[in-house]
Amino acid sequence: MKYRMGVAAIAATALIAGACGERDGGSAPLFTEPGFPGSAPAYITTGSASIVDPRTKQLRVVKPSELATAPGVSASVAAGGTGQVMLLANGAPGIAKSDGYYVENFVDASKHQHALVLLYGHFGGPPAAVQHYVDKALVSTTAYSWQHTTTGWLRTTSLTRVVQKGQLIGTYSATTAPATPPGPGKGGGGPAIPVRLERPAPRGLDRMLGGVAYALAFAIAPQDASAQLSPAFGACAQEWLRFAAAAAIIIGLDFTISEMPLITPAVTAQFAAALAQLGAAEDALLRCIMEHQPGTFHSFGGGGGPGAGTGGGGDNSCLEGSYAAHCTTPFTL
Amino acid sequence: MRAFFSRRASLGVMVTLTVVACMALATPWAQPFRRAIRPGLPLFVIVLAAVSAVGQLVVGAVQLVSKPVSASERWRAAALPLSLGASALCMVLAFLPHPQRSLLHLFPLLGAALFAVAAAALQRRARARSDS
Repeated sequence: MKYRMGVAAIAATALIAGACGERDGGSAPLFTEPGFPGSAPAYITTGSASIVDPRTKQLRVVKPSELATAPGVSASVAAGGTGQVMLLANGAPGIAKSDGYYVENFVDASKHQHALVLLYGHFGGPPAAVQHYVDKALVSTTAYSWQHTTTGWLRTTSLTRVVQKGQLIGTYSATTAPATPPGPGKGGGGPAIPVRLERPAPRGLDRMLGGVAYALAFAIAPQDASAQLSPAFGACAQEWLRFAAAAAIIIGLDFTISEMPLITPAVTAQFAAALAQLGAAEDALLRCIMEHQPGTFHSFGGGGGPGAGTGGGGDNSCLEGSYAAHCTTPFTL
Repeated sequence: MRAFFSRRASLGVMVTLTVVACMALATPWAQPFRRAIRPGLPLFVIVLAAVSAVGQLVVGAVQLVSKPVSASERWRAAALPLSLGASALCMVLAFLPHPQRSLLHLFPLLGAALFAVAAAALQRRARARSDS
């Protein structure tokens, strides 16, 4: 009991110390963002949106003024104008050293299964394309181009294609470029906003305390998506139940057969069917656990993974955000 | 006593073999094997469980109507094959193709487990009755 209380006290102290360390900023910050306020180069991002006209089946650029007046047209992104600059710090999670793909699965509050597939080019770096699946159907694919700077990776262009039942319904493109000095008639822009993809990785004592505090916070108060990621019971609850039921059938039949004076062909057939059922349930469970295993990075054409067969380095059109069947089926889990 | 120990031994061997097979199937080396047998498993289960279900249900029905004994005796004799038949039938239902796997697919499987455990209990009671 005393031991448990001691552990709890240490954990609570770590939690408080970690939280205070981040709040007062007395020591090194707990974030991975490079701190360069003021000295950062200014960038400006411009974007444009297009939607497919249902009558002509052609892409039509949406003007901001049209959004308010066009009947039945709505958009969740600004149809034009400026946007935020995206910068990934060097060594940030999500940056790969080689080609491959990474799958992140989660279930939203409406029980829809989401899968984000990050595709990496031949030389690694940030993802060259991201595919978003909802209930195993592709809903959008985005291609990125990046510029390697001294502080990280700057997204220079991105093209998002929104897809419904295999048909393109809209696009959104964004371009980031260095801003010219503010002047009459110029936009001005702003500093690049670094992007943090994952949990922080500070140094020394802060790293330890922050890590413990963060892990405790992560475990005790899970975030929306992370709460769904537990491979143990969260996402694979049905598969676990199926496996348990199949095991119960086998055990029941084992008991029945061992007590039977005569084993009939019907019971033998049923036992074989139950064995096959147990195998199928175990296979489904293992696949589900592997699908929801966080941090699994797959390489193109290696290890016999689902990406095998796409060729070394991946298909260029897939890395450019194509939604063609050959770009999406290898990654549909 | 010898029969009891032989039953316990056979039960232990069957359960051990099942557990070992399950563990072997979960190893990384079994992945190609799992991938190879995956498409055939549902058909295998459906065919074998359907054969077993029909056989057991027919045996149960025959026990129920044709024995020249009391009604309770007939029910007692038919309970085991009917339970096994119902379990096999639920297994077939659980593996029938369905456009979308949902929670409804789970109920036949749970029913199959319930009937299998009930069959084990019935068999055990029948054995205890015959021993005494």
